[in-house]
Amino acid sequence: MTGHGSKRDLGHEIVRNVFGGPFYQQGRGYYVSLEFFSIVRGVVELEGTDGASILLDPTGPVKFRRGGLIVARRVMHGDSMPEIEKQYFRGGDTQRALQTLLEGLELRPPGRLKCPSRWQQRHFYPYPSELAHYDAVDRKRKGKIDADKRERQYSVERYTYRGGGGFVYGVLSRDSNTLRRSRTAQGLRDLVGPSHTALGRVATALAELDGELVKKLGWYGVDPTLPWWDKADDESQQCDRFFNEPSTRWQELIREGVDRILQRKLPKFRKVDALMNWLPLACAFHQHERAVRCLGLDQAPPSVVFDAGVAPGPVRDRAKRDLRNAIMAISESLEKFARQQQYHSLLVGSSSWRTDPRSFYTGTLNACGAINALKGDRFFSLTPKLLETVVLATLEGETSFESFCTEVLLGTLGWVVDADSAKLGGVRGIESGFLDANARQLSRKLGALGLMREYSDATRMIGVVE
Amino acid sequence: MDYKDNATVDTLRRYLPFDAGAGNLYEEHVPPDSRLDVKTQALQYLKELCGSRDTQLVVLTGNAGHGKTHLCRRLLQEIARDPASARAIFSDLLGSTRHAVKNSGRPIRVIKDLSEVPESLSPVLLVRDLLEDQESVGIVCANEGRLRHVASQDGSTLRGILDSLERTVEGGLTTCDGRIFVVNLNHQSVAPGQDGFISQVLDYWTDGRRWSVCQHCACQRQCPFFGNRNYLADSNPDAAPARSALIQLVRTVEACGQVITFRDALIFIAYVLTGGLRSCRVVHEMSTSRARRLADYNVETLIFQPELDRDQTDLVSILDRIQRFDPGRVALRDVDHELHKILEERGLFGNDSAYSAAALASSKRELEDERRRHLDLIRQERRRDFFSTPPPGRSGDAERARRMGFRFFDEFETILHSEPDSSEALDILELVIRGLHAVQGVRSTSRDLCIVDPAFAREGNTSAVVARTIPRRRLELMAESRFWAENGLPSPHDVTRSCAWIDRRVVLVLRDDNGTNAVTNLDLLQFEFVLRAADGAVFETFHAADRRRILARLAMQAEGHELDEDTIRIIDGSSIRLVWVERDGRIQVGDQT
Repeated sequence: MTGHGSKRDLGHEIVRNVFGGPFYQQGRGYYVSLEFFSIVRGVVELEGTDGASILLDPTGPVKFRRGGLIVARRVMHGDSMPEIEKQYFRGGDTQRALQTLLEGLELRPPGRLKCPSRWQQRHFYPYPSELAHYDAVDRKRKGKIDADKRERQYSVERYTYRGGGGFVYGVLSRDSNTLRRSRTAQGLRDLVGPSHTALGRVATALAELDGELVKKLGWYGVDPTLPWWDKADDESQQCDRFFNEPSTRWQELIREGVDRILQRKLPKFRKVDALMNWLPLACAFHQHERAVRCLGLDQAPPSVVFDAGVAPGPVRDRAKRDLRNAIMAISESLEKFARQQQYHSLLVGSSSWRTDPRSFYTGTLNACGAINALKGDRFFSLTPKLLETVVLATLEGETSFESFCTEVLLGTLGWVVDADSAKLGGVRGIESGFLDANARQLSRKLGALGLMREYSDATRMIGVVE
Repeated sequence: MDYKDNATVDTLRRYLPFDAGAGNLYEEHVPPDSRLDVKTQALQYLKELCGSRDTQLVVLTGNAGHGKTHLCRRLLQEIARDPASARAIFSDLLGSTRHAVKNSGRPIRVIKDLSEVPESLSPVLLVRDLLEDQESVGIVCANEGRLRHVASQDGSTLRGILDSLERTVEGGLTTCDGRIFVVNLNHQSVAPGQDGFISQVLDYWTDGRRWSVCQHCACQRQCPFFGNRNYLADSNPDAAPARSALIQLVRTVEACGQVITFRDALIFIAYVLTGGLRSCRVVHEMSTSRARRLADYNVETLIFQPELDRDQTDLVSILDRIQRFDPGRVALRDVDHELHKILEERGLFGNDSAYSAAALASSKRELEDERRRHLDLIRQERRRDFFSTPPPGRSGDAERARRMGFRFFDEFETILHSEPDSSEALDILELVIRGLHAVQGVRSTSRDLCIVDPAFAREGNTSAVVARTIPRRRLELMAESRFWAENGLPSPHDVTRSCAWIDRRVVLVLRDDNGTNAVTNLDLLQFEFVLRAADGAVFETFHAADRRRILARLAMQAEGHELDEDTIRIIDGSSIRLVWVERDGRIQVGDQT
């Protein structure tokens, strides 16, 4: 590697090399799972319901149909589209009724206060499966403008999807456990195949209108109705060098978790919900583990303390400190790598190339419920949403509360909650009474979620009622 | 007058787990003369089972502290020929002794604690031996985890134990074959009414004879022991509201899903009477040097502002739960208005002497101090009022519940005690349906239960798609025990008879072609949450877990019902709109008539 190229390109190169995937601020949180669902759905759409090549070829670029659900998203946003309305919407206020319907299906990123000003910033929750969609944007028309056409064209391309979903797809398709890989592929086919619901039929009808829209207005770049692949996909799916390195604990956890969630006998919605949370969460912790590895701080994967929500105290202080350290580690790992590669130009001036991945980390954890807030006084916290996801993704059958804390939370994920796991995880300086209170709070939350069954001797078993 | 020492205080101290002297908390260590023999329904049921010719094995299970060992001893004491054999159970670990029974019953064999039997002595064989011994009735005290472990090691013989265990959890019965019985003491309530365990313990410990010595003590007026005793004694007519309030506090904790063992209750009562002070001597010393501090050892302060460290608070486990329902923290305009008047009359708010400029707080710190002082005063007064004012009875309970922060306690009780098709129950059902709509994020005027497509089930949504509509006439709200009774075969062995029972949950029941099944069940706190949601409250953080659990239960009802529907029904504010796709791909919208 040399120190040439634009600062932005160099920054991207370092991020890819350190973390193995393109983890940028724009693609934080749920955009990882939205992109993943759009890829899987796109593969199925391309091949019919069969979708035989899901997760099949780990070496070549994945070809998938990139439906942007442009019409649907514009209707949701309240844009007027006379070219479509007249011909395809029957009834006086169809567009308004559809808008009401579609607004209810929107995925609202946590912490968003205002409605975005542009339709491309609004996305659908990928349930039913027909609502999974790729990114799309308005582009300024190049060249001569026809009088009867508007000034903008639609382009299906990356906007908020920055490759996190592609990274997950790459991890799953490189699973050396072929049995698990084919089981996961089958589970995904079932999940993103046609839903056979009225809602799915409306979504399909709206998706087909995208073709009509681009026929009338033209498109920018590649015809979105055709299968194609983006060279940017290489960033996420083709990091072969990365995949040849020893994998992190979280890469394996992505595979295990996805498989476990898909094999559960649960309503589809709960599976989608769990995957929506699990995938970005795993990406963020993978990023942290790679950062720590890059810094050479620890041979073992890092352990962090989680606050279960008792009250301010030593546990919360430690959870704050651990989060601060994790954020620092991400930033410093990039800086260290840049120094090693002698990219001196990056080390002066704007530091957005390394604050961007840091924002991915915090933004993603906040979306998944693993930290308390996006800004201000932040710490690792166990929210109901996170707990439900973790139980669905990591537990096989039932396990006692104590072993859930020591074997699952600490052993599998590296999270410290109770006194035993603090001892095992080498966390010192917190009185065990505080950790006991933390564990009690956790057990209350699990109980309220219906994930814990208390037997008559206070034996608490954690599991999912299917 | 001289200072006197009361032996009851020393007895009470031995129920407090704050130091090594807490011997009375364990049946094995209680001296015979200080045993507290309280009448319990579980004992009555156990005697009944042992008297039946069909009973082969009785499993006593429940959290540590429910009194399993105590029950065995009482049983042997009451029905065995030789009362001395009651003591023998503590050394007879393996149930090898056949304790002869009075009258014509079969002898009894007891395994006092299955967890104490080492693996080398093969607990599986021991339990199997009890089960196969037709000549005697076997009683096994075991925690459930251990019992499951042992039963799972034996393929078929002990299968009945596991089946009976499941029936107690899901079906509300103590047996599935009439031979093996499981008495799960976790269903037992310590405060089922005014004559439950707590009441009996209070009667026992506040008995006038135990405190007669205090009448001649020089410290009588300041003594917190004597003061608290008088505050809660049945013999004191003025104590009735306080006593009833205390029992209701404990029952509320139970109704919110918390299991309280007899040991927890004993610790709590001993703490409420003594405040953790170790002996009369300590009080005598304090009365001379720190007399003002003794005033802080009153019942209200001990419960809601205890001066215990964290470890001690953990040991008095009920305290933590009760403090969530602190009436001092609930502001009610009508109550506070009256209390303010009282405080003003007493001159407690009048220090600022008619708002004279000199008396007004001048600095930020003084303002803050004054705010704190007023807050403390009003909180104390609210607590005092809670313990002293409302009359006993149903309306009094509802009023006290309101002061604990429950607005819908009366509705909860109505469901527990009335017929599901009564007009009150139907009105409440309507509220619950509205609440479930709100929890799913829709404001629907539909009187039927609309189960929203899970994709829409989010608070703050303005619209939603109905995945399934359950007509209101198919829904009923009822107590859990009633649901069990209606859902199973009539049996004399339902769990409500096996111990002092209170219904802690209401069940929303759906009756359709597939039979009767529970849509969801709600304890008092969850019921409050749903009904407040019906009133427009939005909980994003609090109750987040309850909300997720309810949504998951509703999603299970919706699963499969949305398939092959041609039309989408959107709840849009108060109207329902229909959306469908025509054959030519056009999208059509209409209104539901």
